[in-house]
Amino acid sequence: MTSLLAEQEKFIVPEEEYIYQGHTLCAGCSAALIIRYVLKVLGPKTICVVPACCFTLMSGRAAFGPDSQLTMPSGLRVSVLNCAFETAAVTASGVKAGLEAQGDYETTVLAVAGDGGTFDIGLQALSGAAERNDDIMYLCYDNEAYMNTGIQRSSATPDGCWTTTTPLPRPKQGAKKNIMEIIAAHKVPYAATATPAFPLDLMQKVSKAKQKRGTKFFHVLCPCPTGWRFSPEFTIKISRMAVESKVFPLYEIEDGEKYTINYLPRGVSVRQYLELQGRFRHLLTEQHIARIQENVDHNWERLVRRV
Amino acid sequence: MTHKAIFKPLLKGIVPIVPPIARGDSLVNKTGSWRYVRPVYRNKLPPCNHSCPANEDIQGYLSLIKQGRFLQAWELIRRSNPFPAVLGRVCAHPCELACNRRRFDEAIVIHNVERFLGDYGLTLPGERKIRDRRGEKIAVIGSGPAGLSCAYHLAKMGYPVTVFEALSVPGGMLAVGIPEYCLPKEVLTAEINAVERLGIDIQTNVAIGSKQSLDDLLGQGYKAIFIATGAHKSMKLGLSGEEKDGTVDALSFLREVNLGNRGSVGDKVAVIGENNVAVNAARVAIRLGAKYVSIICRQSKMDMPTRNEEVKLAEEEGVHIIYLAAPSNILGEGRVAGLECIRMRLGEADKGQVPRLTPIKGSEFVIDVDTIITAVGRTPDLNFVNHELKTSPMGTLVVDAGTLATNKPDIFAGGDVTGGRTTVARAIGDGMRASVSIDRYIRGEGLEVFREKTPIAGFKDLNLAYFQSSLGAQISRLPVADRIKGFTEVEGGFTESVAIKETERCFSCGVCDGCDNCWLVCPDVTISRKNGEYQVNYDYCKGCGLCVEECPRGAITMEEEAKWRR
Amino acid sequence: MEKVISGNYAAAYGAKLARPKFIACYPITPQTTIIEKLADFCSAGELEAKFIPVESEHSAMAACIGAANTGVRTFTATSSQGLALMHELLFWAAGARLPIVMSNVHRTLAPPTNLGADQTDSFAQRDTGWIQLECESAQEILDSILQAYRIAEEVMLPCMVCHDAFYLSHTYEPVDIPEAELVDSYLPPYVPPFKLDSENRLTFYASSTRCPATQYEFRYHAQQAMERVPTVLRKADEHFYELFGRRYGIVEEYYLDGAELVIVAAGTMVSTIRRVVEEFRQRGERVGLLRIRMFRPFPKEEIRQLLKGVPKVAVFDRNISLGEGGILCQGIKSALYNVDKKPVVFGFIVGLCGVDITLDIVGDIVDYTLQQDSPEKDIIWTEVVM
Repeated sequence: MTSLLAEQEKFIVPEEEYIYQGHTLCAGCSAALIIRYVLKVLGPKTICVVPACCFTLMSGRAAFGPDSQLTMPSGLRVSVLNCAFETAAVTASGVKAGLEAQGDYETTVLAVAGDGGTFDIGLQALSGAAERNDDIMYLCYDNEAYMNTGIQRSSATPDGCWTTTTPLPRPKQGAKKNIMEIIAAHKVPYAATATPAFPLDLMQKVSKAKQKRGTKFFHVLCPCPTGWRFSPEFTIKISRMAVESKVFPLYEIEDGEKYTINYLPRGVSVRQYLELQGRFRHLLTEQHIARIQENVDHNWERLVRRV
Repeated sequence: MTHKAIFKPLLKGIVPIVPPIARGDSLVNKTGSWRYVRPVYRNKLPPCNHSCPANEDIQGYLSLIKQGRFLQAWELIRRSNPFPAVLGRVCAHPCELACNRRRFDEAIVIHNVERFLGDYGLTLPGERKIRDRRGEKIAVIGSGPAGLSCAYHLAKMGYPVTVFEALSVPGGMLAVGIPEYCLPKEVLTAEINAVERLGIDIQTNVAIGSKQSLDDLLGQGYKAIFIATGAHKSMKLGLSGEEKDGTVDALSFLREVNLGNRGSVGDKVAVIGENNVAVNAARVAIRLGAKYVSIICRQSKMDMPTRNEEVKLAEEEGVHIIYLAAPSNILGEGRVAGLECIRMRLGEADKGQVPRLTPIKGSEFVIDVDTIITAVGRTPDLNFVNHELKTSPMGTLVVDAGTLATNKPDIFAGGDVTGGRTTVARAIGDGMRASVSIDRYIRGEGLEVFREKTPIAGFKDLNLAYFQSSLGAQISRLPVADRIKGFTEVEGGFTESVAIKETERCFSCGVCDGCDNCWLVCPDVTISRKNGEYQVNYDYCKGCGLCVEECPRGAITMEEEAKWRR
Repeated sequence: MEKVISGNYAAAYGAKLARPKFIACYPITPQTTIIEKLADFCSAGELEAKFIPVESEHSAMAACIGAANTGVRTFTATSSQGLALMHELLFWAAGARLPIVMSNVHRTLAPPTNLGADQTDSFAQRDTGWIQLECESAQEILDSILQAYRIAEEVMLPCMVCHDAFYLSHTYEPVDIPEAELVDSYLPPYVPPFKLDSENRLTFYASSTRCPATQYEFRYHAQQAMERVPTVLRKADEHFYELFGRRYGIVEEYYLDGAELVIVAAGTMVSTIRRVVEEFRQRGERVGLLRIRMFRPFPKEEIRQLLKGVPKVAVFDRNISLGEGGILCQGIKSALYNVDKKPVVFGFIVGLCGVDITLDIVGDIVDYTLQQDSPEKDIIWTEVVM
C-alpha cells in the first residue's frame, strides 16, 4: 500500500458520510478526518463513547432549541455517550455488555479518546479492558498533548517538545510512551497505527478489525494545527512526513505477537518532519536533529526486528 | 406578581424525567462564518497547453484517451489542429519540454500519443461538409500547414474556401520539405484528403502573382485573402563557387526527392547549416547512397537549434557533424572538389546575449567532398505581393501578432511568410487564429485578440505525494541498417494499450480530473460531487485549505473571503 | 425460604432476586463476600447477568454507568476507599439519572488502613445525589435492595443501601429469602425511559458550558426527583408489606411516646440502643429512639413532626465531618431550625473507626444527657473503652 492513487484499486471508499457539517472542531483538525474515515467503515450500527477531550466538540453542546426543546447539536450521525475523562474504555465495556445482555451483538462500541485519556489518566481503564479482552474498539487520536485544555504535556508528547507546561528553556524530557507495545503486551487480537495521510490504510484496518471479537486498539497520529503550530492546510502533509521519516511507522500487531509493517517509508530526514511545526522550532539545530534521527532510526530497527 | 429572580423551568425534555439527553445535529452551526479565505475550483492552464503553438488542448485529449474516449479526444484535437497524424510525427514538441512531469521523472511522450490519435482519426469516416453554408468566398494562397489549417477552420464555420497552390501537390513544406522517413506520404495525403472533404477547393499548379494577382482575386468576389505561401527561397551562402556543379540548396534537393525525382548524390556530401533542414538533407543523402556525409555546423553541440533526437538519429545513421566550423571556400573547377572550412571559437557571452562566434585565424581545413548542400536559411518569396502590403527588412510580411491582419483590412497572413518561429505547429496555429480574424472581419465585428489570463500550473502547484515514479513509454525505432536502406518510417507509433498507459502518467496539471482527493480530505465534509463537478458548501467551509494543499494537480485556489463578501 | 446467612450474603441474595443484567465489581474488605456470592450465582447459571470483575471501583461505577445507559438493571458493591474512589462518578450516575443500586459496607476511611465500621464513607457522599438507605439487620439489607430498585427506577436516581462492616456484613442471622416469583411481582423487569442504542440516534450528556441554564434545570429536576422519594418510598414500602409482611418506613419510632430524651441513630448501633431504651423505660425514664433509615433525601418532615416539642435529642454519629461535627447531628439541627419548641440537641461521636459501642457506653451517654440541660460543646466525644 503506497500512495492514495495506488490504493484506490484495492479498496472502495464507502460513499455514505457519518459526520455532519457544522461541527466545531478547529479548521483542519485531523480528528474530524479520522472519525470521518472510521465511521465510513463502521456504519450506522455504532455507538461512540467519548470522554472529556477535544472530541467532545464533535459530539455537540447542550442548548435550548426552538420552543424550549433540549438540543445537543452533535456532528456525529451515530449515538454518542459522553463519559468521565478516564473511563472511556471501561464505559465502552459496560455499554457493550449492556447491549449484549439485551441480545444486540452487532452494534460496534467505539471508544474515542485522546492521548491524555489513553496514555495517562485513561491507561488503567484501557489496560483493564484489554486484559479482559472486552469486545470494544478503541480509537486513540494522538495529538501528543492535552490539547483541549490548552496544549499541556502528556506522556505522548515527544522528547524535547514545547508545550505550555514544558515551556522553553525546559521542554519535555523523556521519550514518547510506546502505547502500542503496552497494548501488545496485553495480547489483544488487534492493534494498529494509522494516520489521516493514508486514509485507505486506516479504513482497511478498521474494516479488518470490525471482523474480530475482543479489544481492538487504534493509535492514530492526529496532527493538531493549533497545538503543533502550523497552518491548517498542512495537516495531511505533516501526517505523511511523520510516516515517511519513520517517526510514526504504520504497522499492525495481531494477538500481541504478529507484527506487520504496512508501509515502507521513503526514509526522509526527520528534519523535514520537524521543520514543518512551530512546536519544534528550537530543535532545528544539527545536534538536536542528529540525536532525534538516531532515536528514530533505533526505534525503527527495533520494530523491523520484531516482524 | 411575577418575580424575575424566581426560577421557572423552561425545558420540555424528551422524557418526563429530563435527563441530559437530546437529539440534534450540528447543521445549525454555519461554520462558514469562521473563514477568511475560501477554496475555489479554478482550473489553471496546463503548461503543455500553454506552450503549444497550435493551441491544442493537450491535457484535454490526454485525459479523454485515458478514459478510452478516443472519438471525443479526436474531436477535441480537431478543434485546433486538423493534422494530428502529421504533427505527431514532425513537431518539435515544446509541450514535452514544458511538461511538469519532466521535473519529476520523465515527460509524457505527448507527440506519440498525438500521432496515435491522428492515426486513429484516419480510420474514421471523418468530418463532412457543413450544411449551413455562408455566401462569402475566402481565398487562401498556399496549401501548407498554415493555409490548410485556415481553410479547414473556415470551412467548418461554413465558408466556401478556395486554396491556391503553386506546386503540383498540396501540403507545402510538409509535402516537399520533410522527408518520407519522417512523414510518410500516405499519412499526409490521407489527412489532406480528410480536410478537403469539408468542401475545400484545392487548386494545384496555380501560382498567384503570375496569372492572377491578389487584387484580381478580390475582384473575383473573394471577400478576404489569407496569404500562407511559406518561406521556400533558400538563402545564399555568400561564398564564391556557390554556382558550381555539385552544389545544391537543401530545399530544392529535398523537394525533388519528395516529388519522386530521386536524383543521385555523390559519395562524399557536405551539408552546410545547423537547422532541421540541414539534418534532413544529410539523412536523405545517406539514404541515397552517399558514403560519407557530414554536416558543417557553426554552433557548438549545445547550441545547435535542432530537435535533439534528430541529431542523435543522424549520428546513428552515420552522419558526421562537425561543430564550430564555417565554410570559407568552395574548391574545384566547374565541379565541386572540396570544401574549405574555418574553425569557430565560442567567445565570451555579453550580458544576456548569445555568445559570439569568431573564426579562429589560420585554422582552415579542407574536407574532401563532391557534393555540397546548403541549408543556411530560407526566406519567403514575396514577388506576388504588391507594394501595398507592408513587409519587413528581413523580407517577411508584417502582420499584427494577435489578429494576423496585414495593413489591408481584407488581407491576412500567417505561417513562415510572416517570419518568427518557423515551426509546423505555429503555422497550424496561425491558420486557426487567422480563420477567427477573417470570420470576425466578414461579420463586421472588430478584430480582437484573446489574451490568456489564466495562470499557468507550475511544478510547485502540484502535490507529488500522490504520484508514483514511472518512466515514459519507449519509442520504437527501426534498426539503423534498415533505416538507411530506404525511406521507410523510422519511428514507430504507440499501440492502444501503450498510448493509454502513457496518458495515465499525465498529471493533469491545473485541471481537475475527478480524482476525489478534495472530497476525501475535507474534515468538514463540505465538498460534494455532482455530475463530475465538485462543489464546496460555503455555509460550512472553514477555509482550512486541506483541499487546496492535497489537490495533486493544483486545480483549487485559495482566495480571500473579503473579495467574495464585498 | 429461611436461611441463616451473613449480612453480605443477604445483600447478594437481594441483588440476585432483583435480576440485574449487569454487575461490575472490585473487591474490598468487607464487601468481598457479596461479590463472591454473586460470582457463584452467575457461574452456576442461577443469575443471568454479565459479571465483570473490573480493575478498580472507579471503573466499576463507570462500567455500571455505561451499561445502565443502554437500559439494563445494574448492581455493584463497595466500601470506604472504593466508595471514595468512585466519588467523581457518583455525581455522574446521579446527574445522568441512572437507577444504579449499590451495596455499601460502612468501613473506616484510611489512613491508616482500618476495616472497622464507620459511617463516614457513605455520609461523605451525601452531596452526590444518591438515595441512601441505612440497614440495621440482614433481612433489612435484602429487603432494602429490592425496594431500592423500585424507588430508583421510579424517580430515576441511583440508590445505595448501606450496612456496617463486620457487625452486620459478617455476622449471621436468620433471613427470609422470598420466592423469586413473588419478588418478580413486586419488582417487574426494568423498562427504561431512555436508552442508548444504535437504532435511535441520541446524544448523551453533551457539554453544557455554552448554555449553563440547561444544566441548572437538570439540577432542578434532579432535586424535584429527590423530593418525590419519600412518597415513592412509602408506597414501595407499603406494597412490600402487602406481599412480604415486612416494612421499614423512612424513620422508625421506638418508644417515642412522651419521651423526654430521644436518641437519633442509624445502623447496627440501633440494636444496642433499643436495649438501653427499654432498660431506661423500665426504670421510669422517658427515653425514646428515632432510627434514621432514609438518610438521603434527609427526612426533614418526619424529624420536624416527631421531634417537635421533645425537650432533648441526643444524636449518635458513628462518623465525623472534620471541621463541622457529626453529620447526622448537622442534619438534625438544620431540619429543626425553624421549628418552634425545638429540642436541645446533643451531638455525640460514638464508635468512630470501628470502636465498639457497648450497652454501658450508651447507658452512660443517656445518663449524662438526662443530667445536662444543654450540651457543653457542639461535638461531644465519647470515651473509648479499650
